[in-house]
Amino acid sequence: MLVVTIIMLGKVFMKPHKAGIFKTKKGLNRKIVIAISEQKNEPGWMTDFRLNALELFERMPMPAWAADLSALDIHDLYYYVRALDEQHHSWETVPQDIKNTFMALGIPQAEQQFLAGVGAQYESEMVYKKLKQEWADKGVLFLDMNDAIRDYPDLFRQYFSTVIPPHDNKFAALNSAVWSGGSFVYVPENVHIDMPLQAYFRINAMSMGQFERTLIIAQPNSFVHYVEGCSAPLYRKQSLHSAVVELVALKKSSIRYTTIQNWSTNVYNLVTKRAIAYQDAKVAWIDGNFGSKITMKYPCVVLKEPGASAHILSIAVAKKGQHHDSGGKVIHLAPHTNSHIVAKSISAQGGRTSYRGLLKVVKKADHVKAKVQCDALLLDKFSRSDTYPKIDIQGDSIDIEHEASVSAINEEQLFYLMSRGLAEQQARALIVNGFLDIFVKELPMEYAVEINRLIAFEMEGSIG
Amino acid sequence: MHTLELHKKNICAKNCFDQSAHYTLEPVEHLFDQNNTSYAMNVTDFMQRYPDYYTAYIQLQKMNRASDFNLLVESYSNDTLVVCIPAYARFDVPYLIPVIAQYSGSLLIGKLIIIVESHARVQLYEKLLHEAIKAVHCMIAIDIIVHEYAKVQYFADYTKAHQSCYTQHINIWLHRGSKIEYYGLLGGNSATRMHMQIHMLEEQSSAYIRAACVAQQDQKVTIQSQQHHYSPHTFTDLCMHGVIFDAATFDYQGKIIIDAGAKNAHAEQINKNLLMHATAHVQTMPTLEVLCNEVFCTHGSAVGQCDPELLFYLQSRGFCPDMAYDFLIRSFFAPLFTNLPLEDAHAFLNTLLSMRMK
Repeated sequence: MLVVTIIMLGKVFMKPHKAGIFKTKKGLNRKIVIAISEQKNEPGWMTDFRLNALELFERMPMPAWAADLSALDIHDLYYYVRALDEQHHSWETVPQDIKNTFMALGIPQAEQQFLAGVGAQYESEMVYKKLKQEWADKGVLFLDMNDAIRDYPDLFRQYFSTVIPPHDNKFAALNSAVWSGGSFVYVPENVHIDMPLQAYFRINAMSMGQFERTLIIAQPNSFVHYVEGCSAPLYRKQSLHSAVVELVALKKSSIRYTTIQNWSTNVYNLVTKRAIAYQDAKVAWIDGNFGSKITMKYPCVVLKEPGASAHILSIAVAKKGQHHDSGGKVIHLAPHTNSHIVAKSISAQGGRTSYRGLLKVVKKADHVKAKVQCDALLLDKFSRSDTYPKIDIQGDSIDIEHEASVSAINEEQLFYLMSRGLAEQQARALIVNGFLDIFVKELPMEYAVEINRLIAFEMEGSIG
Repeated sequence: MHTLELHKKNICAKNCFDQSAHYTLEPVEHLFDQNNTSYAMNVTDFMQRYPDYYTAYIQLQKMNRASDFNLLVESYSNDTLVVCIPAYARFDVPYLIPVIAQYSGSLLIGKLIIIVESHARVQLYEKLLHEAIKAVHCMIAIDIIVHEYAKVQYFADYTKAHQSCYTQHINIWLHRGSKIEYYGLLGGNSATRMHMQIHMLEEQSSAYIRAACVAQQDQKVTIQSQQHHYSPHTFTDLCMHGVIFDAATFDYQGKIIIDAGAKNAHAEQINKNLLMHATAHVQTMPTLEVLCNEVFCTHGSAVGQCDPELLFYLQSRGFCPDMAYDFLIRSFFAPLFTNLPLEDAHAFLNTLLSMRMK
């Protein structure tokens, strides 16, 4: 139920919420950055951090190596919009119009049934955040980033921007300059959160930029599964979502980060995601891209100590006017590390999907095992699929595999299914579902049942 | 390739060096047809004898996206060698094209155009020979145009010139029903840079590309390949194996492009590498750009090392460690040459293994 609603939100909830209670002027300059920092009542070091990042952003060229960003006007955006005065910890106190949006998305119901905690971001700020008492008692922190700076300054500063510094890329610099909202998750040692934490991001205003940051710290021998969903109503004008997600998986910990992205097709989704995995830690990025005009997103795992492992699963469904340039990056810095990247994409109705990935093994990293698998399905003659993997290996005793394929729906499979009584459209839908089955299996059961319906919804008119 | 070594009718492209820094590629022996007409000629003769082909060649050059190198070569090379194999010709022995780098410290720049007319069957054997003591830099551009239903087997051997830097751009243009099989032995040079473009111009054309590379010491091997399918029902299969020793570097960038109208195109691209030392470096980037749905496209790459269990097994059966390694490297390369006669495959494998001996 939740997934379907998340996926459909872009199409269903066209009615925007009334203007925010605070909004910066359009455009980006030092004054805007300082105003954002003042609104948040941040310490001085954070204001300096933002201003330095702004300088970096202005110096860096626009990336020209992937999707076409020439139509993105960074000066035609609102960089900070606050819809509410304060954050709520009960749905009862959330204003009705905002609450209706999240009710329709099924967030409160899901929270009751199978989530350990829920955060909801509306425009630039978190409007709702709640962690079940059971996990709060065990020392788990699930906070808005602003609260984390205020309440846990030392812990925050120890990890903030250590995984993705502002100079990493142009949009990481932009995010560092104007970031607002996002989640801070801290899982203490030996705590296994067996229910997912869910964050939901909503852009409701027109010409809006959303720049949340998420920081997850898993202490030794802990486990957390974080799920995020994104949506926005469709406007004629562009919007920008440029998030930064940093994961720190300490010794023997495990982090799963699942994204189901369904921004409307006027949103540029330019996100930087990276994890650092220490000894015997496991990091999994499960990334589903359905919406947005242009997506550039390459979740990365740096395997820093022996025994660490990474799993990246990226799927993309692109339709008319969409270009998903996504993939995964794994950097093996230590021996006895292993990684597995699986990328699946479907292009239909003139959509374009590109897989872009990096697999790097440095000199001292021996006994490394890595596998990259990319499969693409082209559903019609107007669509396009590209694959740009890069494999850079320096090391001994390593085992690296990469394979990729692009094809149409297999006629023999289609014939077989139709010979068993299925109509052609049903048969095609079944093949498409089977193609994405690996993604569905990675989702919690409550999501998995609905994701098939969601895919069928997305593929409506594309198959058969 | 024992059949090649003693063959007397051949074409020799040889660099001529004089004090005025005049470098040319010049045919010194020609192959003649039954009417005693040379198949090899310079561009002026080519324009006079085959004006239609010359016009078509100029058109092809215009659509070649990576023609900067060709322009460079053309501007420096005074004499372009053109070989035109007539229609329905059948060559039962390979056509040898030795490129001889004779003078130390020289720069050899040359261009070779090979036109195979319709229904011809020919084997071409290009061999880089190095007689100079000091380094030579070779820059060779080769264009191979294969017309309707012609078939070409092309052997390239760049294993004999350890002091030289070798840069080659090879463009293969395939017309309806034509077929090329390319076998390359790479890595003998201190630096090798090869850029191969395969243009599948018309339906039913097929290209079967096999290349093996042994890189060692501080050699740098860079290979770029592009399989461009313009037309439907075209087939390419490219497979490149590398064995990297010492501190050598192997960089492979492959690309498959399927144009919007190229229905039922079939393209494969495989790159496998064996890393023999911890200091060896491999970078591989096989890419796909597919603009048509009814196609089959696949690429793969793998990097690994000699399986210690296999080494142990061989040694337990009496192989010394060096022999066991040689055996495994030989079996790593062997699948590349399965389409060749056994003796030729053995000759290739021996050449590759002898490179490490040196």
